[in-house]
Amino acid sequence: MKRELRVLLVTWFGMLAGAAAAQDVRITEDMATAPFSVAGRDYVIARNQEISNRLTGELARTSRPCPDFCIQPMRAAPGVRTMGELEVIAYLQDEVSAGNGLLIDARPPGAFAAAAVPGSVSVPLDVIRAGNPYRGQIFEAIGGRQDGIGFDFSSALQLVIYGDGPWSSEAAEMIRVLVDAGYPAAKLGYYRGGMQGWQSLGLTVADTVSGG
Amino acid sequence: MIRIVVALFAFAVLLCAWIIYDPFSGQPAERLEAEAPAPIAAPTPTDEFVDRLGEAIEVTRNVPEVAPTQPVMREITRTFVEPTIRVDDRTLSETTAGVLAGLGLDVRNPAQASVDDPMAQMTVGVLSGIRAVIGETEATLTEPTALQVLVIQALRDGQTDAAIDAAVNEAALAGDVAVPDVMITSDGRVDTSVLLASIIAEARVAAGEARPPASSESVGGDGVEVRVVQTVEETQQYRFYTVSAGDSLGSIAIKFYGDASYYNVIFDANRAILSSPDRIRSGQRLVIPNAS
Repeated sequence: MKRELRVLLVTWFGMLAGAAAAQDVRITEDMATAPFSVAGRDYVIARNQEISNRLTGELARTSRPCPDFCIQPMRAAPGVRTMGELEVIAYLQDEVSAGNGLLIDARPPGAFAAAAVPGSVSVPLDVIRAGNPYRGQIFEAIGGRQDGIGFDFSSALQLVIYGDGPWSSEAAEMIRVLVDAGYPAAKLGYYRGGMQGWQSLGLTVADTVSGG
Repeated sequence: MIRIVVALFAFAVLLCAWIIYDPFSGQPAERLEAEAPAPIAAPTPTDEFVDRLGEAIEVTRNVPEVAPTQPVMREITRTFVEPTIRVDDRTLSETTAGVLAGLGLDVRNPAQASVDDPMAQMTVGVLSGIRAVIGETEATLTEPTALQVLVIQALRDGQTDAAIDAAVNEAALAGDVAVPDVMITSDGRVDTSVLLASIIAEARVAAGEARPPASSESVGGDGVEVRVVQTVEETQQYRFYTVSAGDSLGSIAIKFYGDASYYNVIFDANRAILSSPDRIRSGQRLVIPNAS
């Protein structure tokens, strides 16, 4: 009873404060929102200002069966940096908007269409696997150059890759596939938190394929 | 007596010289003016005769000198006229893709290659997503090269490989087409079989067949040499191949790996003796790395 009362009180105060100040739930103390633009499109990342907001449904689950949904290590591959939300936001503002890199959603296309990090692009793990006879075209699109049997990625884009969350392997798996194909580890980043980490902080989500 | 004979002989020689030079006919001088490579400064009226005579003599003297220089001139002309095969900076795979596109089988655009293939569909979606973010417009089709046009037409007409090879060589020698460097043989011809093999391999992949792995089975025949080096830890096998007439880097790649696109593996391993892939010569001994 006492606990419920406290939650109610916090919610009440939160709503009051929300009415008073426009941005009460900031990204960091110094940053209320993170605007950036990619290829002429403007994006703003902010946090959900509704203090009572809670994750529900699929995102609230704690116990997916392992395998297949197993806890991922902190490092996806040697030399690949692991990033948190602030690093991902800085990467979007600095590298993606400058055309130096891509933020890649490794999940299946349907999941990307439902909810994704703004400014990210859908590259499902399956199309990067060696089994896809057309993956060479994707490698070329991200700046790889055909070099005999393999690809030369020395002038390719930087890639930061995310998946569903720390309990899901597609992002880490994609990093390993790319490293095997010759992608320099220094050009790769791993956002381990993934969509669950992103949404658990109430960060802005793009909900269409076009990334709106 | 002998003096008279010598005098007559001398007179005859002078007469002959007079007839040959013939300074008063004016013709040699005119001919000279017509042939003169550069206009000669107009002679002053007073010494016109002397000048003309001098010129005539000089030109006549030059005639025998021109003769020995003629072969040299012909040689110079030959280096310009002799057909040299132009090397195309497009790679073999680019040329192959262009030919297949010309035949209505586009390996570059998976949507057209196989509409039913879900992987192709997904790839197209991913590519358009990446291009939208990079800000790149859809890739435009490049104009087919003369070589592609020639091969496309020949394949449409159902010509034999030998006929296509003859047509390509003729066009290459005439300078009408440029070819990828891996197709140039050790004796300066164009190895069309490399392109045809590449077209067949790519068409198979486009038709849904898996790309065959590089064959690593032992290759025998002329010019192949295998050396086994045994160390404490491992046994390594080195393969060498001596280039013979008619070999191209592409055909050697097909011989050892079953795929012309492996030419780079051979080229990289032999950069010390090959300045570029079209510079292979008979008798060169190439290292053939093992397919990894």
